[in-house]
Amino acid sequence: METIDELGYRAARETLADAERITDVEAGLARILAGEEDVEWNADGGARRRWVVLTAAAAVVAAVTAGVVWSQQDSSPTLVPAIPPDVTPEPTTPVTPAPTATVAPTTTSVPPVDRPSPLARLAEAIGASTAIARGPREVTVYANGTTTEVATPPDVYVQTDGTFLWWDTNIGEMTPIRSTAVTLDGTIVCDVDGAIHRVRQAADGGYVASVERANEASERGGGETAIPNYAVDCESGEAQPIEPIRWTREGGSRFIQRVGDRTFTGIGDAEGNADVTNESGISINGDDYAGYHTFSADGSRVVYGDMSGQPSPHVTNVLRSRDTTTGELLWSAELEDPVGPTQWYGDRIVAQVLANGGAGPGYEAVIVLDALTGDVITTVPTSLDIAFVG
Amino acid sequence: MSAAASGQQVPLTESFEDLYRREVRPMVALATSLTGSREAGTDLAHEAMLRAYRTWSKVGALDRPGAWVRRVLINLAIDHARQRERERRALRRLEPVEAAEPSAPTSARFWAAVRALPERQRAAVALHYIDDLSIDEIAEILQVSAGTIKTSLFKARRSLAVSLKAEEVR
Repeated sequence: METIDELGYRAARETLADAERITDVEAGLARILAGEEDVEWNADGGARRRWVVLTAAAAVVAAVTAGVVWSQQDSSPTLVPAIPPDVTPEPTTPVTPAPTATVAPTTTSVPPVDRPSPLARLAEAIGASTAIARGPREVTVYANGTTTEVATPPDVYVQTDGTFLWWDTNIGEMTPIRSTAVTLDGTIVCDVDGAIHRVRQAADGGYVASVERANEASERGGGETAIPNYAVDCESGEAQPIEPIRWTREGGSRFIQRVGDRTFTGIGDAEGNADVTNESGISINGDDYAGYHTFSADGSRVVYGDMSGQPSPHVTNVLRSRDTTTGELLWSAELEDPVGPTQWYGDRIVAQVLANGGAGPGYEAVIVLDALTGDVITTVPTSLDIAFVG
Repeated sequence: MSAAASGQQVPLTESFEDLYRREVRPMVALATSLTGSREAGTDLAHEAMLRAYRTWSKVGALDRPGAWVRRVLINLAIDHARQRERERRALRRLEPVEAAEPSAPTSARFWAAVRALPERQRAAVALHYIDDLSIDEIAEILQVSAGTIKTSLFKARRSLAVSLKAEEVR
């Protein structure tokens, strides 16, 4: 039997040899030396920000319906030790300071912009009345004909149900997660310990969040650990234990997902894909290796990406739809470009086309499909990271 | 072990290009071990180097810019891991996370077990094996005491011995 040191050094040798093989040093160096060119671009019909052009895999450069979007180079000072980062020029239009990871924000939005934003143009192009897109330090919301930018802390992953936005912040290692929820205009309605997974407004006008507190997880049974789940009164902070919806287990997790009146159970793997079954234990993704599930509003149908036989478990050209009661395959669509996340809105599906065929970060287009047939309706170039359409 | 990551004095006149050429491959290996993805590892190493380049007038004057850029890389890798965890929690979308792209069975199995460790242990183990750094050098990069690193490595070895069914020591 090998020792840990023997295993560790052998693994290191293999990994170093692999890095040697895959790394083109001169090309990487050239990218960095060339990547410092600053470009100013009128981002949203008003605010001028400093953008950094990146090339090759680090770049997300895509034409949108009426302009060009550059990926903004993140230079989060929290990640850089010892030396203060270079000062980056502030936008010329007022942007409310983004909240930090340790201080709850007091307000997070800027006034709506006057001219149609890229998000507004995208929403119009795909026939959506509401669209929400993630940015590195903000979320852009298009709703009711106006575009609003809601500032967020840097590097948070914003989730939304189309009514609220919420995100987690890790204050420090071994520190419990804290979450903040805001309305679409940036008004903070909840700031709680734990990871929010749903927010609703109660009949009395107050807000209640469903919150998971993984740091309290301790119970084990059948090889699973339940993640404690609470209904938290956002004003008082009072937490009422409720049924867990997620259990960690070796190699992944088990989770409960409710859509309309339906309840599904998923067994997720380490890649983030999942085998999802209905109330009767019937798989709603057949024998497919599935991810990016999205459901019709009543939960009667599902669309997912089939990763079976794909070169990566996160990229697919095949979208499939099934009846979630019978598991029957309704349609299967083979797309020209590999796609990632999908969203169901109305009678349509929007799928995000991964940049560089899935090799690079970000997106380069969205494809809109008919949810009933799987027929492609339109393709719109955009690098926006779509969080919600409705 | 790379010179910049070790205790060797790096000349103030060293260029960014020299640092990049010497360090980028071990940094890709370090990031790949911590993320489980060649693609993410390459991106993070590149990002850390880019940050060094943008502040090179200050970073280049440090005694050990290689330690500085590794600290950035570790932070980026931790943030990357947290981001993946947040995405896993996005149950509604069932969004996938980075692929494990094992280069070989031993490394894949070993680094997968390492990534299951707490953050500090994870970083200490990767720096120890990939860069072959001493306790003091790891402590400098992670900005904790040498005693903390000793404890972290001890606990990490004990956990890895269980998860990998290997001997802790011989």
